[in-house]
Amino acid sequence: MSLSAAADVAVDSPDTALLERISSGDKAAASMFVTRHRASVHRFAKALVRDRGIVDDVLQDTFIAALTHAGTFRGEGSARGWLFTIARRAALKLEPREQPLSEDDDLETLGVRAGWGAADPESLMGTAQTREQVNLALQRLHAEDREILVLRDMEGLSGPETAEVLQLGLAAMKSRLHRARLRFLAALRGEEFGHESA
Amino acid sequence: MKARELPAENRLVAGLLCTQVLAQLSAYLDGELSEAEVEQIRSHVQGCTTCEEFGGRFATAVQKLREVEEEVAPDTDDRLFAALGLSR
Ligand SMILES: [Zn+2]
Repeated sequence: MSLSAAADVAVDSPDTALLERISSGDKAAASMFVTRHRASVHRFAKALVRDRGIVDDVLQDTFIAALTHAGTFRGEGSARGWLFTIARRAALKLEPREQPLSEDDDLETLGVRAGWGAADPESLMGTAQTREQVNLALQRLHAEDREILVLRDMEGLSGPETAEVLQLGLAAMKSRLHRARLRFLAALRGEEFGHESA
Repeated sequence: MKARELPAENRLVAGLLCTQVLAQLSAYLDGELSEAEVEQIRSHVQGCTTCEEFGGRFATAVQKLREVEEEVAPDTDDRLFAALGLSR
């Protein structure tokens, strides 16, 4: 690619425009697309797999697939949703999901674990809560909880987009999100009841 | 009318049980409730310390998630761009 052609790619080019250029072999557009989305995909990859050693593989496989199949993006929904769907497929291939999260617990039980009705000290949820504590709490959760929290709350996908990436109906997604948030709050409280068996 | 006797953690306030508030917290935060439903939850919370405190902690926890920024380590970046045959 010549320098003048590279300069054509505006920093604020929309994803659809970048993907179109990528599909015709534009490396500058590819670099920009990867730079724009790598942190989001990295965060999602960490949520998807337990084995820290394969997070980089998920990240790389995701972008290899996305750049190779850039021409298949149809512009329905966001490129981020499309990318997260690819990432999820790549992760499940590298690390098949352990048994699905059982949803036996009723909401009240989840609520009590999260501190519902408990006289928790104010400091528990104060501003002192560091990024590290949030990440530690996330690590205690099942991948099914982590992935929905990352998509909906950390990456800010809409409800319908989140449901689509996770291949869930909208109502099922909302129910799972609520439970995941309650389990996250419980994990923040320091309660060890992650569903991942060692 | 005499208020129904319920466990301390499940009071009937403003026509809603605490358990109903608990079930609706995400829908409330995500703006999925009607104005009337929002108003009812607000009234309940005003009269119920349990839900006021827990609702506040729940909202704060979700807010914490929204605030966490992701950083990609430089060596992860290097490996990624190398694997893709791209320069930065
Ligand atoms: Zn209440």
